[in-house]
Amino acid sequence: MKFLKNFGLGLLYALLFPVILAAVAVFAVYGFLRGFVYFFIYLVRFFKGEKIFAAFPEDEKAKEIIDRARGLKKEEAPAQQQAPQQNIYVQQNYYPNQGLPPQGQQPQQPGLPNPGYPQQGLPNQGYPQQGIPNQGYPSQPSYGQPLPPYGQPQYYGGQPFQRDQLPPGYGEPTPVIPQQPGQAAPQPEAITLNREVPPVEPAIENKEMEGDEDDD
Amino acid sequence: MIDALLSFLISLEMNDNDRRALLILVIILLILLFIIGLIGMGIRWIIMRQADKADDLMYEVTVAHVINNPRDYRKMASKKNFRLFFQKSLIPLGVIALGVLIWVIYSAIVDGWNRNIFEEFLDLFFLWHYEDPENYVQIFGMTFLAKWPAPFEDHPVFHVEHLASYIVVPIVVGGSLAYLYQAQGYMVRALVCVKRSNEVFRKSLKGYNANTLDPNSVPYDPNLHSANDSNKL
Repeated sequence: MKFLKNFGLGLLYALLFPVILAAVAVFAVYGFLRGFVYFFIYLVRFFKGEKIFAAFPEDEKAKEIIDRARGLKKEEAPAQQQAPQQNIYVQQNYYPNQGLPPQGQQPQQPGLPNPGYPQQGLPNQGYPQQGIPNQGYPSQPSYGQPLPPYGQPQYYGGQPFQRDQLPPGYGEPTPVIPQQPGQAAPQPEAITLNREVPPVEPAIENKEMEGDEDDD
Repeated sequence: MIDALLSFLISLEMNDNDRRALLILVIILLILLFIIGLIGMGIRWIIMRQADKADDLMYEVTVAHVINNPRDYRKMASKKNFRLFFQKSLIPLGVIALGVLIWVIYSAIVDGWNRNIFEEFLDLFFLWHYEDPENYVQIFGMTFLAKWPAPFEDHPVFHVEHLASYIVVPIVVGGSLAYLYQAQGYMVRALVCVKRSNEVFRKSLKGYNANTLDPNSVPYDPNLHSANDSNKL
């Protein structure tokens, strides 16, 4: 049925072919004359060093709009799946016996927030501490053992203890390692995973002092 | 009119030869009709193909709403359509120019400006003697071509002095046909763009009824509904 319809239309087009041919001839002449004029326009454009067939401004605008729309779609899709961005700072600890931790003490694992164990080594030097603050758990957890659940402190080896049986050293202040003369102060190593940390601006007083110096 | 036709058909006296000739004529006409229909389908297919290109040209600017009215649409379509035609017709026009250049150089060398290169090109073809009355047959008082004209008026002959014509004519004819094909595309795209400019920005109310209310879009207000119920009671 479709073939018959197309066949009928084909017959119609064949009958109209002389008319179509005449119209094509008219367009051919018109296109040739117009092309003759545009040939010189393009020639001038060429010798000016411009692109002969430069994109139309409307095309560029349309392309920009479409690209922007496609770009927004691409950004929205992963934004819903990604976890919220966060910066993880790794506090590198130093120990008195040349970097080796004493027996029974283990360095803090990088990337893992300490859920309540006292900070060993140097105190926090102004970097934001990730995780839960110290809740008073025993200060020396066994390395490689799972952490005790929150609110249920245990002895080493997993033995739960009573509230009145505090472990040795519990509640005492964290020892501060004195810096030896001639030794550079250890700097904490920060790893930024997703975005850069904005630079810390100097104190206002310093700015004012620098300004005063410049004036002088 | 019908009575006259019927009386004419009844009055026809056909012998066996006439019947055979009529049958053959009908078959030939059917075959010709079929071939013409196929050619017309080909022409239509080519035209539709060019029409699709018109939509390709204007798709992005229309979808991005850079153009928002039929007048700008037609203006932009005309520019882009002509640029495409210009680009596409460069090669055919270049081929034609090459052929003309060969003809000019050849004519300048042999001083043959008055030579008919198309007539010389026909040396390569058979030419039939159509004027011979024996090639025709009379059916119902009408004259039809009954067989291929014979003998041939001329046979294919290769003349070395016509070599330039053998080269120039195919180049020029081929380039002209290619240019006509591009001109046909230019015309079809222009017509389609004019048609689309009226269609794309049309605000149609076809199938829309202003009195149709979507029940889901009507908010439910219990106070109003209860008041109506109490009024009814």
